[in-house]
Amino acid sequence: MSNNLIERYLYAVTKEVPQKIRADVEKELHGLIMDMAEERAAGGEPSEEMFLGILEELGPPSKMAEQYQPESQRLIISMPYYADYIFILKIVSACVGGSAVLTWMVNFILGTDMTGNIASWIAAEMWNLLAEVFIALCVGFAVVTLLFVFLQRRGVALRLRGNIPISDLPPVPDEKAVIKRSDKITAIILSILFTIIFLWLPERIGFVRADGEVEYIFNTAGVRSYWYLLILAVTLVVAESGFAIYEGRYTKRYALISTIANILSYTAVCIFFMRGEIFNTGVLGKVAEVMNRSTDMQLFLKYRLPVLFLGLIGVCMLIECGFNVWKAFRYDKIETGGE
Amino acid sequence: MGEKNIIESLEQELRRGTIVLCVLSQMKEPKYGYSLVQALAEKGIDIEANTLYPLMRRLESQGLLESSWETDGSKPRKYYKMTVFGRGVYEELRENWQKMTSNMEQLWEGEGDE
Repeated sequence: MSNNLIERYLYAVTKEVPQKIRADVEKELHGLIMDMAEERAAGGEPSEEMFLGILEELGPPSKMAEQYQPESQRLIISMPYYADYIFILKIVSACVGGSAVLTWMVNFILGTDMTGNIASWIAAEMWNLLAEVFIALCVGFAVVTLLFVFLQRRGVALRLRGNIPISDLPPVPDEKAVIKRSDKITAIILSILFTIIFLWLPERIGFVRADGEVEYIFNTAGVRSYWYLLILAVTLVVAESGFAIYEGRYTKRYALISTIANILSYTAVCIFFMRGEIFNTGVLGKVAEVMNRSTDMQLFLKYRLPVLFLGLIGVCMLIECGFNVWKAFRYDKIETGGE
Repeated sequence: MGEKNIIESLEQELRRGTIVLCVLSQMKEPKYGYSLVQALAEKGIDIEANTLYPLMRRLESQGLLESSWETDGSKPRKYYKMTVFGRGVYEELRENWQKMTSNMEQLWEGEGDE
């Protein structure tokens, strides 16, 4: 029975050690157990309890086997791979999570059938969104993890982030140069929410006339036929905000990227709102009627309202770009001077 | 974590750092695993077999030790001995250890003056 116990112990250990050293480890550990038993029995016959005590002293087979693993293979992903693993995992999670949201948005807009119970329909759509994001994140996590397990096992050298020379280390940012994460996260959430709501229920946006009738501003079919322009704009906003979070402070690089993203997203929004098909026929004239009774002003608003609206957004966009550039030139002197 | 646990954990770290030096110091003559456990125990160094055996294999893979099976006796035994490379490494480690202990002594002497 003691032999059985020893055999079972050795089997449990060796099945977890690399194949090429199994036989050697088995023979060596067997010798060790016999040596320990011989010493404890002091010339007598070792008892079963004695063998059991020896094996307990040697510890659980899995722990013993772990000691025989090469240092680098004791953890699935260990240093120096771990830091790169986390770095890539964050990027991949953001990409696949973002793609899942966009895919859902496109499907949502193109495949919307709003008949039936609206509450259960909303619940189903939200559930779809969560499921798509969850599945995408799981797949991203699994692929990146498997890739890094493979790279570590193969000992492939990685130089993903490189080592920054000490002299080129970025300066500690001035408190005023720091971009608030909360602002950018809010911008991401609001822009996504706005786009979803706008594309989902464009026909619900309207105003009540003096006589009590409701005028709806947008034409659902028209709005949804140009969905890609709004998706492009929101994608650019999310990308710009994401980069701001990554950068963490106002830099010239951020100023450049945010300016390009803002101009492109603004252009997409302009093209969208300049499409006459997105508005209900004659609604702009009715807006003008409600806002002002003067005929000249009515005409002005009727034809110029979208331009005014876009002009206002454009001014805000220019102020933001100018602010980013000013902050960059004010606070990003040391790093760019070294580049 | 209590004081006792902290001390135990720090002591374990100290020991871990000295194990290789302890093992190499005993490997001028060929030894099999358990005889090394006993030799070290006699000198007051208790190293568990489940730590020592894998360690010797690691030192062998690093080229500091070499091994051979002796099958003449009643039980087959794997004997390890230090290689020429291992001896060089050991000598250097020992010198470093002596410097470290001497520096530590100086630190403690200074501590006494305060």
